[in-house]
Amino acid sequence: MGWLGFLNPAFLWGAFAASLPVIIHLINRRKARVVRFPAVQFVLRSERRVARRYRLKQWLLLALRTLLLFLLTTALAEPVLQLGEESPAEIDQPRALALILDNSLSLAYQTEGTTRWELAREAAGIVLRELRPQDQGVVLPLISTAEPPQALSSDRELLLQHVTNVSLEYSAGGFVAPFQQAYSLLKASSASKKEILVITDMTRTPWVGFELGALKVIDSQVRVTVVSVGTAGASGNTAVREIRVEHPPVVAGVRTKLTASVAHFGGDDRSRVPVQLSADGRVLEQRLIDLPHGTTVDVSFDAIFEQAGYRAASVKLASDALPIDDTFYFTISVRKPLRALVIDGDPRTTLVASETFYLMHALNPERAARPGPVQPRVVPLEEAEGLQLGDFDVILLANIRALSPSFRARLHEFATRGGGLWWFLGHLVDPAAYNRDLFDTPTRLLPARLGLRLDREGAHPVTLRLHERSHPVLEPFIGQGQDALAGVRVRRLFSLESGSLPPTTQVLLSLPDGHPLLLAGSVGRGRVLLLTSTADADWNELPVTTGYLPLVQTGIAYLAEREEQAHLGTDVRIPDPIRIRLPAERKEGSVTVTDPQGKESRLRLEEQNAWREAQYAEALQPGFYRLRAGAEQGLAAVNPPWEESDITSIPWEELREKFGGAPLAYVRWERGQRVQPVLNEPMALAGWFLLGLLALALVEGVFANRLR
Amino acid sequence: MADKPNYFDPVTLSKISTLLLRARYVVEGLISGLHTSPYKGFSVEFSEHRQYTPGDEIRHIDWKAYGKFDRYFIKEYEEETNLRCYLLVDASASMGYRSATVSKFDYTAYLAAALAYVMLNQQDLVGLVTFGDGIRRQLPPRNNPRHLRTVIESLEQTVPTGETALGRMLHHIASQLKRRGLVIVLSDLLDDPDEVMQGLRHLRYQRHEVLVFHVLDYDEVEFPFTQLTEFEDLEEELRVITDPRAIKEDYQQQIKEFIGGYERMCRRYDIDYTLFNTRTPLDKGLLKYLAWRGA
Repeated sequence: MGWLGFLNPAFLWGAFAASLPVIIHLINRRKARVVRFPAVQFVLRSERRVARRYRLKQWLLLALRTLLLFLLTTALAEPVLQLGEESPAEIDQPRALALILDNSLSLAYQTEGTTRWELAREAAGIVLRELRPQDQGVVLPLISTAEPPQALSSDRELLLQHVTNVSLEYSAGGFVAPFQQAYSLLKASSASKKEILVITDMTRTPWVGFELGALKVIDSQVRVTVVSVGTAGASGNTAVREIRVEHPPVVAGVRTKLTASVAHFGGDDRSRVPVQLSADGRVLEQRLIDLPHGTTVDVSFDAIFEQAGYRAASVKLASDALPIDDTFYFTISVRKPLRALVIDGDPRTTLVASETFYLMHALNPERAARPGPVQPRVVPLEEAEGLQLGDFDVILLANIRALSPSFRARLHEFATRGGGLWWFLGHLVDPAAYNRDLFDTPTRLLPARLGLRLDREGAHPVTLRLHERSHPVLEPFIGQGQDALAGVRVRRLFSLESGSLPPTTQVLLSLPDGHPLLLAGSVGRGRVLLLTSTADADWNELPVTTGYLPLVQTGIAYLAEREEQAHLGTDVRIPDPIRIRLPAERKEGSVTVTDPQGKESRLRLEEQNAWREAQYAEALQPGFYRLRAGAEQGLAAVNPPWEESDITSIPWEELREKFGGAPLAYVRWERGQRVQPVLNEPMALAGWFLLGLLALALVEGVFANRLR
Repeated sequence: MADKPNYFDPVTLSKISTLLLRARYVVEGLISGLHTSPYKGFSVEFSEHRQYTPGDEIRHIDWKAYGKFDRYFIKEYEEETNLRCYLLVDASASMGYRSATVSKFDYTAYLAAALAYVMLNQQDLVGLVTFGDGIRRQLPPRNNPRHLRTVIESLEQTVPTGETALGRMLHHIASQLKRRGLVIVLSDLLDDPDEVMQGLRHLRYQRHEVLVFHVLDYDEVEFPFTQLTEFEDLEEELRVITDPRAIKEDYQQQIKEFIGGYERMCRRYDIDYTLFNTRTPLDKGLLKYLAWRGA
């Protein structure tokens, strides 16, 4: 069954033009020119002989021209053939309808004060109110935490109530599950006409991963209609994709660079869009940016966080049609400055001659101007032995001749608890004693066994080789930063005994001839670094190259990071849960989560290996969730799913491909209209008409030419 | 330099006020273009010898023949005057058809006047008969200078009208012309070809030299009509509505056969036939005559 329609029916008036040849013929006939002619007997004879045959051809030509004009005007009216439309006999048959209602976040997009969600519910109401007593239906939200319905219902009011109960979710969803449910429910129905009606804003996200053929239950007799409530001419949407700390860690009182990636989907270009960085309710900085459509722009902020701990920060954009994603929430873990104990094994009376001169400058390069992230303290070995090592995050040992057994034991305990150690060697180092006291012992502090001291006088400057490129210590030297490790002359260093590297030790840097220069290992929970040459320029020129400072900075940050720290600060996207992790030694049995509305939830911590963990799955609204484990306060930032910010529509052709050859109708619904499904895309016939017209024109041309 | 008007062009000629002038332009224009004069005077045309009988003038005795045969012979001359020419001009209604500014009759009149002009200049006798279904005007052959004006006035005063009865008229005229001469028939020949040919043969039988100047209009030959047309006969109550494009090919074939038939039959009976359409330059007719005259 089917019907023939016209997209531009006004052109059908032009079909009257098809009568023009006949009218012209009649007029011409009435207006036959009278000629007084001498040789009429010849005319008469010819007329009797040939004109009848000619007249027949003329009539044929007239018919051709009439048809030609008819085809032309009809083609201009854009005829479409709609196949599969129901016949009058089918109208009264019972109908089973599964209504899938898209309630994902993108439907919060609003135009002229109306959200797409409001339109979607309105359209759903119209569809359900048209159900007759013999019909059945079910409402299936795209995103639902409730138990799915088990059967179709004939109660129209109940179905309308279901629509009212469905709420817009700050989440993303996929159509696979609701379609699967719809097919399953329709399969159980005895109705002769079965239909799935999807009311959506046509954004691409819910369709990602959907392929009709991949569903477990499908029925080719079920008609699928997609109703679009996406308003035409949408002005686009702007959202923050992510925020990055350029040089972690963030240290209290130290200037930090943050970069926000701001994306603009669709619509027109936006200019001078205000972007505001706030922390703990205070605006830190604001920028104005230009956003060409379809681009992602990075915005950098310089900020100083005065207090250590988890800070509630946000980047806020100027409001647009989808306000829910205009504010991006994030937590900043601000730590106190790193306390580094630098033990100088070869102290001198002048600073520049000291073993740790370069090291100090690298640890705190701006100490005169402003506070840095590291607070180093330089002491000789004797003084160090009298200090509480637990007051420091990292201990650097430069050219130490020997350590007392008690100090070695304290160092081992410090490292085992997570403290970082960085060994620098020198002329005072006795490899045999080091190996005996620091490696071949249960309280191992070195990551490798030392070999012979290599004297390489006259060595040429070389480019250091990077080995573990993904290691955080080497991060500044990946890419263009590799140049910073060029032109390094290493005159002396300790070799390592072949085969002595423990499995946990990694060579990070080496000379081109293969001798390791920097190694990373571990002691208990602590991290250990070993530079096989000096910390100053006595044995090598590394301290006077541009690579020294970033190497020391990233090395210190690496050593100070403790994996066993409590995870009470996190950023998640809805609907991911907030994960909380405490070290096993923490005694708390639970953590408390307070959502943005102030509602508290207590979560029980579960033992997981060396950790105690809990998950909070109710973080379904954007904002900050306060975490409390004992006396420790934490923070989780929850943002809407990034995919929902992309309001780009899925093209109809792409959607059709997802349904293969299954019957699929599309309705672009406007407020106040009925939801009238149009099965399949109407077959455009204008092309065929024009083709026929061309063929007729060809025949007409040949025919007319022969008559001439 | 502006082009000199082409006085052989019937359309150009039609703009000249009088027929006399038109004839003069045509003739003088033609003659000035020839290298030698076409005027070849002659006075006596020898016919035959016969035996002297008493009463004959002695000055007509051929003394040379007497020398040869020792008997008196009288030299007889068929004419003792110049050429006697009869211009038979068809003035039936069909001759009044015109597709442009010049009708067939106009064209025929130009041609007849030009011929008369030439002939009278050569001291030939020129007679004129205009006819339709009967004799309209008839001027006996004369060669005085005033006669040209008379001929031209007759042509000018003739209006083509009435049916054609060419065959009958030729018979009639042939029986009237007592003295043999040159008969030039100027007509569209739209009559029964058999009857027409019988009339022409009658003239030939009377020992006239016969020239047929067959004048047709351009439309009659080419049939250039394109739109639906009601053709109404100029002479009979005959009308037909037709699409000219439909019958053009067949019509042209008929005309071709019509002309070809005349050509063939004229050739058979030693009649000089020339076809003109109203767009043919007029010098063609004069040249034809002069060629015949010089033969």
